[in-house]
This record gives sequence, C-alpha cells and structure tokens, in this order.
Amino acid sequence: MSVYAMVKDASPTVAVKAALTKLLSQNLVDAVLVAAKSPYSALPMPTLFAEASAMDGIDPLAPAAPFNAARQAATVSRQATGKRLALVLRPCEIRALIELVKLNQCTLENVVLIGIDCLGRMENEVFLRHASALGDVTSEFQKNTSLQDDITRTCQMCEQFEPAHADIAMSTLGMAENSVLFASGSETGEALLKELGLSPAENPAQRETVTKQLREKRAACKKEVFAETSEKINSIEKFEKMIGTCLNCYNCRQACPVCYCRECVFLTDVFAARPETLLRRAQKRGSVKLPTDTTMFHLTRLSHIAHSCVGCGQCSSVCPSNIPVADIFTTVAAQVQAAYDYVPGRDVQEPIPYLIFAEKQKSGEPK
Amino acid sequence: MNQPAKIVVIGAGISGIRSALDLAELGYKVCLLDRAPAMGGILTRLDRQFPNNHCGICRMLPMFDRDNSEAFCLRKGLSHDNIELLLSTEVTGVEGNPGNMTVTMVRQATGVDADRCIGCRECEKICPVEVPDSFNAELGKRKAIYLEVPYQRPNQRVIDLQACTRCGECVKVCPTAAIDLDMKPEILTFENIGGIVLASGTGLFNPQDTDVYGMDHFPNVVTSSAFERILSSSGPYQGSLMRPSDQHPPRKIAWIQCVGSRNPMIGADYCSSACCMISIKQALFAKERLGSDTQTTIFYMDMRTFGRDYQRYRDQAEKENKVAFVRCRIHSIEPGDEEGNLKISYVDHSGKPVNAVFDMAVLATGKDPLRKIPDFAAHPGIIATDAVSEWMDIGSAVVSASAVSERLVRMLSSAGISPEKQAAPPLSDKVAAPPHLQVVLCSCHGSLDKVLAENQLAAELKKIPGRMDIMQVKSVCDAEGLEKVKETLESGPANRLLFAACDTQVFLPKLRQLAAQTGIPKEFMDVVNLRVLAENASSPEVLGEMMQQLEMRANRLFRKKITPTDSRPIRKTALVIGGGPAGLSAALALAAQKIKVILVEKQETIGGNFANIYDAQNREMIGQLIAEAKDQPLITIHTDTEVINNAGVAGQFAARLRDKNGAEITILHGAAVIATGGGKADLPADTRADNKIISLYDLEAELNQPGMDAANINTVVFMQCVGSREEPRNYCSRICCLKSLKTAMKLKELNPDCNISIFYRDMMTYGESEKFYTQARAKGIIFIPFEKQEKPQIKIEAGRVLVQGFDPVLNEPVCLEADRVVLASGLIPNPVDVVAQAFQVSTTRDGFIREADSKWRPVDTGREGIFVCGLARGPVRADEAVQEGKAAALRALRILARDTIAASRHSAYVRHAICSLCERCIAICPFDARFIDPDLGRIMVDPVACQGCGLCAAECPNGATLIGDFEEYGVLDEIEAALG
Repeated sequence: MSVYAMVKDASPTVAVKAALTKLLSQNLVDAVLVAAKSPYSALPMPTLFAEASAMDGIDPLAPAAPFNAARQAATVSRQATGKRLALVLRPCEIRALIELVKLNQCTLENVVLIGIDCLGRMENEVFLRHASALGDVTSEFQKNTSLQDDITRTCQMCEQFEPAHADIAMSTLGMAENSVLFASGSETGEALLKELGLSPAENPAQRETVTKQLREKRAACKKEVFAETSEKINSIEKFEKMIGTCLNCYNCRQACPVCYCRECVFLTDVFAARPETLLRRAQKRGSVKLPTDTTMFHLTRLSHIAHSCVGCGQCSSVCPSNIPVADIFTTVAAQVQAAYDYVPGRDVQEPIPYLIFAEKQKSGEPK
Repeated sequence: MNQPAKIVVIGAGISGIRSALDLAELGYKVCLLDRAPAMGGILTRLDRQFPNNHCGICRMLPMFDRDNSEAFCLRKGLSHDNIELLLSTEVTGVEGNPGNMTVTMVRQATGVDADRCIGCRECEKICPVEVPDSFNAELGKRKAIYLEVPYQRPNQRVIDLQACTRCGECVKVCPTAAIDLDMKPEILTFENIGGIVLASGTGLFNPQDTDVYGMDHFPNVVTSSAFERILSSSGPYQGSLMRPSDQHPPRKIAWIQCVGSRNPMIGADYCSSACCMISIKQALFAKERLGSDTQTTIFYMDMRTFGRDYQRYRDQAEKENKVAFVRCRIHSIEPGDEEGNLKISYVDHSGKPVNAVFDMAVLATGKDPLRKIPDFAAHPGIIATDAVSEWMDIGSAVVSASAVSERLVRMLSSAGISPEKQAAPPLSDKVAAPPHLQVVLCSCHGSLDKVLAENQLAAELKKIPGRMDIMQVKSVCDAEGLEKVKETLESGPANRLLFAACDTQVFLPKLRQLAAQTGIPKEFMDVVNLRVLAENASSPEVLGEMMQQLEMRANRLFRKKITPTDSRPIRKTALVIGGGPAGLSAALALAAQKIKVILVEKQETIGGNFANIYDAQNREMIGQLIAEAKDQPLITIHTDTEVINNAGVAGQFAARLRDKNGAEITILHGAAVIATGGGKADLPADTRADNKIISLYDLEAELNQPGMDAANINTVVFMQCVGSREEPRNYCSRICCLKSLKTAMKLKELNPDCNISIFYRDMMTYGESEKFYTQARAKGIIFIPFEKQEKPQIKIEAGRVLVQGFDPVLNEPVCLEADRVVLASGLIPNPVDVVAQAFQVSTTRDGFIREADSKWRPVDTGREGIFVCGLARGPVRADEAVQEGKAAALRALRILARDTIAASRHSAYVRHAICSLCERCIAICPFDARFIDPDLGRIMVDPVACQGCGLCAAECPNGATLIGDFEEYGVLDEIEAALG
C-alpha cells in the first residue's frame, strides 16, 4: 500500500526542489541526478548534484528533454559505489533504466528512484521558441492546455505518463494548482517520505478521472499512428521507401536509451563495405545506392530492441532526415511485446523474452 | 622403439565407435572395422531414443581437439584423423601377444572402388535387379547395387553380389569407372597391432527363423526393429506409420515383450534389457504420430524399468498417455475376422479371459541366441565389450565400451606402449600470406568439357574480386587428378582451394588428405557440386546457381583466416571424491596412467559399502580395489574429508578440502570424478512393528553369520519395492531383485524345507541375471506379483506375523504366516548437496548427480572436466559401479593424459573492446563455457568446454563475440554473393 503526502501552496518545481534539498541536506542520499537548466541553454540537462545549495536551476518538470536520461542514470549507477543516489526521472526514463538493469548495464542497489508525472515533452526547437517568448515554460505548461498540445508526436500517443516502479512518485495530474502529491512505491520510498516530514494525505479521487481521460485521448492517437504506420511498412519495399533518406548517422541509436552496446556493430568492421564488394555489386546490379546497409541497420536495431522499446520517441526527434523512426519502432514493438506478454520496465524481475524463450514455445505463445 | 602400435576395434556399432573414439582421442591410431558395408550397427535403424525422442549420437563426438574429426552427424558417418574405417571387412585370424599382434582380415568384394565412386546414383537408377530391402526389414525393395544405409555419407554404393546378375548396365553408366564386377575379396594383414577391442554385438533375434507368433504368414506382425523402420523418415513408408498389409494407419497396436528372450527352451535364458523401454517409447511414438486415441497395449511379464528415470517414464506413459500395460505372456496370435487384423487372447488382471483384436502386433525382440562369439575372442590381447555377450541399452553399452577402452589402455601401457605425441605443425608463411585462391574445375572425365567451355565459367569466375588461379582437370576422383592438384598447390602461390567437382561429403576425405600433404588447413578448402551441370547443362538457372555457389564459397574462402587459439597446460592430477567401488576403480585406472590421484573420502575408511557386502565375488573384487588403492603410491587418500569448493576450468581446477576438524587445504587438479555413492534405504517407520519384519540387508547379514543355523526359519515372505518405484522415491534400486533371489537361494541351501514366497511388482533380473530367476523358480520359490495400488498387507495378530495378498495365478487371496518378512527397501544416494554445489553440477529430483546425457555421455556431467560414476549417478550393482568408474577415468584421461589443451578452430572468442558486459552470452551458453573474470572485468571463454555452437554469437547484439572460422565478415560476403 502506498503512503501519500501532499505539498500545497508551492509550484510543483518548488515542491520537488524542497524535497530534494531535504534529501541531500539531511544526508538521506549522497547525490541527486535531476534535470536542470544549464548556463548555456534553457534546455534542461541531467545534472548530478552533491550539494543542496547548487540546486537552484533544477527543472525536472520542464516539457523538454534533449535526450532520454536513462543512459545518464545508468552511467552514474553502473556499479554500486557505496553512495546512495536519488535519480529523478520521467516514466519512460525509469522504464528504460529498468531494461538496462536487466541487461546488466547498471544496478538499482542503493538507488532511490523518484518519478514524476509527465505531460510530455516538446521538440527542442519548439521548447526554445516558447522559452524565448514566455521565460518560464514549465509553470505555464502545467496549466495551459494549448501549450500541452505542442508535445512531440510520440508523447501524444504515450499512455504510460504516470511513474511506475518509482520509490517516490510525484504527481501533478488531477491536483489543484500549486499542489503536488507524493506517493511511496516501495518501503524505501515510504521511509523517505516519513523522513521528509510531509503532511499525510489521501489519493485525491479526481486524479483517476483526469488520468483516465488523458489515457483515452492518448490511446486514440496511438491507434491512429499504428494504423497509419502499419500501412506504410507492411512490405520490405515500402519499408525501404520509408527509410530511404537515412544517412547512416546513427543518431537514432545514440539517442535510444535501450540500445546499450558500448560500440554499435554498425560502427565495427562487421558491416563495413569494402570497395571491391561495392564495385562487384554495382557490376552485377547495374547500380548501387549509397550509403548501403540502411535497411539492415534499422532492421537489426528493430530486432535487437523491439521488446525493450519504451516509446520515448527520441529516435524521431534526433533524425536529421525527419524519418518517423519512433512510429516504426513503437508500431513494431507493440506487436512484439504483445506476442510475448512482455512490458518493458514493468518489473525488474521479469526477464527479457529472448533470454528465456524455450525451444518448444511457439511464437506468440506466452511463457 | 619402432612405429607405435595400432589398435583394432572390431565392430562399428555404438560400442565400437565409442571405444574407437576413446582411443583416438587419447592419440592412438585405430583401425575400426565392420563386416557390414556401413558403420553404425543396429543404431542406423533406430532414429530416436527415449526419454526425449531425439537421436543424440553426435554427443559421442570429441568435445575438444574437435579439429581432428568432422563434427557432423555421427549417424551419417565417422571421420577422425586417428581412425581408419574398414567396411565389409572381417577378422579371420589373430596372432602374437598384446603389444605386438598380427591381425588378418578379409575385405569382401563390394564391386565398387570406394575411392572412385562419387555417389551419383547413376548405377542404382539403371540396375534392373530388385531385392527385398534388408535395411528396411524387407518391407521395401532395393537394387542389387545399393547404399546399405541410405542416409550415410560418403554415399558410395556397394553391390549385393549374390543378387547381381552381372548384366553390366551399371558399369556402362558409371562416370568414374568405379565398378568392377569381377572384384575379388582382399586379404589384409595388419602387423604391430597393440591390442584388439571386440565390439561385434549380439545380433538380433529373428522370429522368422522359428515362425514365432506367425511372423511368416501375418504381414502385420512385425519385429520392433521393423517397427522402427516404419516410423523412420528413411523407412519404407517415408515415416508414415502404416501397417504393411494394406498400408493403412493402425488404430490398435499390440506389443508383445520377450520374443526370443527369457525363453530357456530356445537357449535364451536371459533378458535383453532394452526391449521394455523400446516398446514404451514406440507406443508413445505411435500415439504422437497417429493421435492420442490410438490404442496401444503392451503385453509383458515384467516391465523392466530398472534405469534411474525409467519408472517415471513408464508411469507417465500409463497415466498421462494411456498406454495399456497387461501382464500376460501371449500364447499365440490368430487371424482376426477382418483382413489383416490379429486376434490376441489373454487373461486380464481380474482373471477374465479377453479376446482382443489388433490392427498390428510388434514383437519386442532382443539378443540373438544363435550368435556365437568369434573363436579368436579368447586370444590374449583381445578385450570384449559387454555388448558382445549381452543386449543392452545405449547408456550401458557406452559405459562398457569406455571401460574396455580403459582396460586396453592399461594393457598397452603395461606393455610399454603409449600414443604418439602429435604436435600440430606450424602454419607456413604461404598460408599466412594474403588470400590467393586456386579454383579447380573438374570436367568429370571430359563429360563437362563442352558445358564449361560454352558457358565461359572460368571467365565468369575471374570477375570475382580477389587473387585467383583457375585450372581444369579431367578428374579429381582418381589419384592422378588429385596429384596434379597437389603439385599445383605445392608449386604455386595459392593458399586457398575451391573444387568445382561433386558431392561435398564424398570429397571431405580427399580434402583432409590434401590438407595433410600441403599444409593448407582444410578450413581453407571447399567444394561445390559441379556435377549437377551434367544433368541440367542446358538450364540457364542451373548455370546461374552454379556461379552463385562458386562465388559464395570463393568469397568465404577469401575472408578466412586462422585465429590463433589459446592453449593451456594441464595439471596432471585427478581429484576423486568417494572411496567406494566406483571411486576406487576410477582412481586406480588413472594412477595406472601415471596420473596423480587425490582420493577424498567422507568416512573414516575407504571401501564404501564394503562392510555390508556379502556376495563373495563382490567382496573379493572390492577388497582387491581397497588393497590396491592403499598400495598405489600415486594415490593420496584423505579420509574424513569433504570437498567444499571447486573453481576453475577443465585442466586447471582448484578445490578446497575440509576435514572433520574443520582444517582446510587447497589442492590443484585437472579433472574430478564424483563417486559419492549411496547406501541402503531405511525401512519405512510403520514396518518396524515386529522383530520378524526385517530388511533384506538384515536377512543377508544374518544368513552370512558364521555357523548360521536356519533350521527354525521355515516360512519366509519377501516383499520387493518397499518404498521405491513410487513417489517420492519413484525409481528402481536395481539391486534388490537379484539380491532377494540370491538370499532366498542361500536360505534354501541352509534349509531346503524353507517355504519362500516373493511378492514382487516386476522382477528386475535384467541381462544374464535372469538365470537366477529361472533357478529360483526351479528351486520351488513362489513368486506372487502385485500392483502398486494393491500392496500385500502385513498384519500382526497375537504375536503372529501374517502377510495378506492376492495371488493372480490361483486367482484368490492368500494369507501367509511368516517367520521372517523381508522387505527390499532399496538404495538411496548419499547426500550430494555440498558436492553438487561445489562442482556446480545439477542433480535429479531424487538426489542423484545428473549426467550430461544418460545415453551418449553417461559419465560426463554438464561441466567439462567433472565426471560422475556409480551410485552417485543412479542405482547400480557393485560390478556396474566399477565399470562406470573405469569409464569415468577414461573420460578424465582425455584431459589428464595431455600436457596442454588447445581450443578448436571453431570456438568462440570475445572482442573485449566493444563488449558491453551484458552477460547474455553467459546465460545462453549450453556448455557453461563462459564466465566473467572478476579481476579483468571481462567475459572469458573456456575453449575446452566451448563447442562452437554459436549461440553466444547470435545472442551478442554487436558482434563482440565471434566464432572462429565463422566470423561475420566472411559469412556476410558469402551472403552478398548469394543475394546476387
């Protein structure tokens, strides 16, 4: 059972900051990883704080995320260090982090996961445009629904906007203005909430109504995107057309939080085309489009991560050729994940299907 | 000393193959012969075995030094550098002494020169003579020129010279002039033979000889081996289960057990041991093929499910798969009312006569009572496997064969003969130079000249990028052509070879030969079948495909490189855990090969159950083992000691020993044999109500007391399977039935008037021990069968002990008052938790150590370098435990007898720089060959355990794991060519 606490009369950012300050100053944790404005840009970047006094610019609720922070979170939790870390992450970042734990890329030992309700993020340039017009986009975004429509296409189809599996979840959805609900998701979280000394509260009934509405809206969008995308990629020819302008820049793989290889196989010598091979191919077929191996790259990545794709949409955001990579990946991933009854980030104990898939198990048959 | 002695293995069935591979792996040169024109023996006709309905014979292939042999289906063929295979060959004479024998053989004329035959089948197509197909139990036809085992490779034909009419058609069509109808048998003399393994098998009883059960006139009565052929995809009906008379799928099938076995009237006073399990497997298979509603009934006298996991297999067949088991010896089979049907009359469990009609009957046949052991078998220097005198299941045959290999090796080493040390020759500069491909186009005796010229194949090949020479030869299947290729390779710059010739499998031996002659590794050679062009020369698709094939192989060869493999020194010390018969025999076998042995025994003395053994033969055998072990200076015995931890890889282990005082030491060793044994199970608590109720072990001890007077023991009731063969201890303890018989007969000896009754579920007197059962019945001992759910009850009334049961022969209840009620409580393993944990080996639910494969690798564990034998693995008799100990020692010797051990070329390796340490490869490795080195923070591969299966490489998302000789870049270039 979760324990709830409410902070009123403070903007969500202020309430979160107050809680994190307390965690650090009371030595409940040794460091906090949280998105903060940098001196260089309005875009918040994941920042590791060891001193409460340095936390002025934190902005975890900003509708912007230049990348999915799970990779940065995994960097600081690669091995247990003996220090206790608080990681403040969006729901999709937590899900990706849990996948990375299963892939042995980091550990949750001595880690406190703090999740926040996520209303979505904007593409970087959209956010910066609003930032230069409004200044504090974060506060405006919480109340201005037309601003909320400016989130990315993938965020618009995200139904998992509430933090699951966080030790502490901070919610704004369905709350009165300037109120934040803190909920514990584990014994660790419960103990910490006690230490923070927040006033106990009930889970407000209207929260369920608001989240349900939002989920329905997102589901409808998702259905549309899936239908449209399925039609566009249902043959290899169509798929090739879809990715026809890929440059092999590998930004999508760099942005992907669950593409965990230290060095991608496409950067190694394995697929490196040799000139004589290309010439021979041109000789046999008359012509060869360059770069080669774009289809191979996307299909390989699909086969590698479809079961772990958390639908964060970063791959689309970073594509210089405006290929809707996330549409393709989420559409395929949904089918793969349904076939194995697998939800990435659902449970750290739940093994990734290919690690346990038995010889006799038919495809599509749950384990 | 002159050239090292060779070993002859007679019989290329399972036992012969096992023994030949054992010896070849130890470095001995072996000549493996079989009088049949194919290797594999009976196994060639059995596709799948229980318990998993797979074949699995490939698991006998070498696990390391795999480069010495072809690692493909062993059922299809055997190819090992140290093994020469001689088919259609029989030994006619043996002379000399162990260490230096002369063996004369005769190789029968097959009419076909195996060196020239390319397996093209032209001869078989044209041959006008058809005869019943002996391979398929005469259920189909074959030609007079044929392939004995249709799926074997190389697929060189032989001629059945008795059936052949000498019409000469085949001679005319043979493209390589391989056929000689006047071929004469050839006498071969082998000198300097160190020793001989006799593994010629027992043959199969043929019920046709005596027309048992109407075999001669009912087409739907078949033997179990014919039934195997019917089930087989290479069988007469291509794997459709049909009955022979009308080729309809049978709905009701009967199995009749003990046909030709357990029948003293025909000289078969033995049990063939394997037939019960074969019938259960076949019944389950029939249900799998034809649907679960197929009626399958097994008529039996005793279902001999005496192997460790067999009882559960039977129970499952009975309960879950509804196979019917009827205890009844069938008198005869009569024709049914409908054409082809069979009527079987029997008396059911309740005593009612039943007339049942079946569509088909399968006779479970075993050992052939007429098969004689060859005269020369007694010649010194010849060691016979048990499978020469007994029919047995695969696991037992494999154990026996390895035990024989061990005895042979011991005999050779005492004659001062050891295998030649073979160091791999270093790779030449030429081989290490940039790839240069030699393509050899074979025009097949000129028949392809025109096709090759018209299609400018050579010019097309030249377009493939890479340095390449092309030559055309008239024929590479004769010595002349091959010599020309060899000369070109030796004088020219090429370091890769691609043949465009014929069947790949036919070519493999030639490639091995060329590799040995030229120093170019065989991995740098390949073959494409060009002969398909001869048949389809005009088809442009075939030509395109041909070119594609050539480019694929060429691309692959261009990217091949030899990856240096790791080699590590071997600690030539063995650790044996357990000082019972199994452990002692393993220790002595190892010490005989100059291996230091550390023998760890948990108890204060060695000998295991020696104190409880009364059988004179066993006492002598074990007593001798104890004495020898104590005298053997290479064996260090640690009593009151346990192994609490073991780390490392095969060849280099470190184990932690702890004595009873808690003192610990670390010892270094190269391989371990687990022989932790077991002992008698206690009687269930509720049976200790009266001191007349005793265990079988108690009675045995009592009767063996000096001066024992049995005069007042007048009525004794034995009860078998007390606490065993039902959950939770649902296995047969294997020793009790024989022990009960021997004890009962001893009692009869001491007191001939004693009335003895034995309540039993199934008398498990397998193999030759059946004779004791026969003798006991002749001595007037009464046998009363009972079923698990209707156990006889023991009652105590006013100081009298009564046993109430039901006698199905009298068909009425019986109540016996007994002076002794003797309960056979069976065997349990000693606790193995600590040892299993220490060695990271898995256990069965009954607490035995699980072997790697119950049939093909019975004394290996899943972990290379750790072996298991005796009671630790499953219930065994003492003599069987000793055999297993020897077999386990032989398996350990493969590692311990060498100085270093190197990975095979097809082994996994890791590119650490790009490895993300996700450890998915560790989780998926089926051989436990991968682990993480905590100090280096790296994934490591044990090259000895690694079998090159490639799962890790498939699992690794970014190619950080590679398989030697199968690196992606070569394979992708091959795919590039395939995509066109």
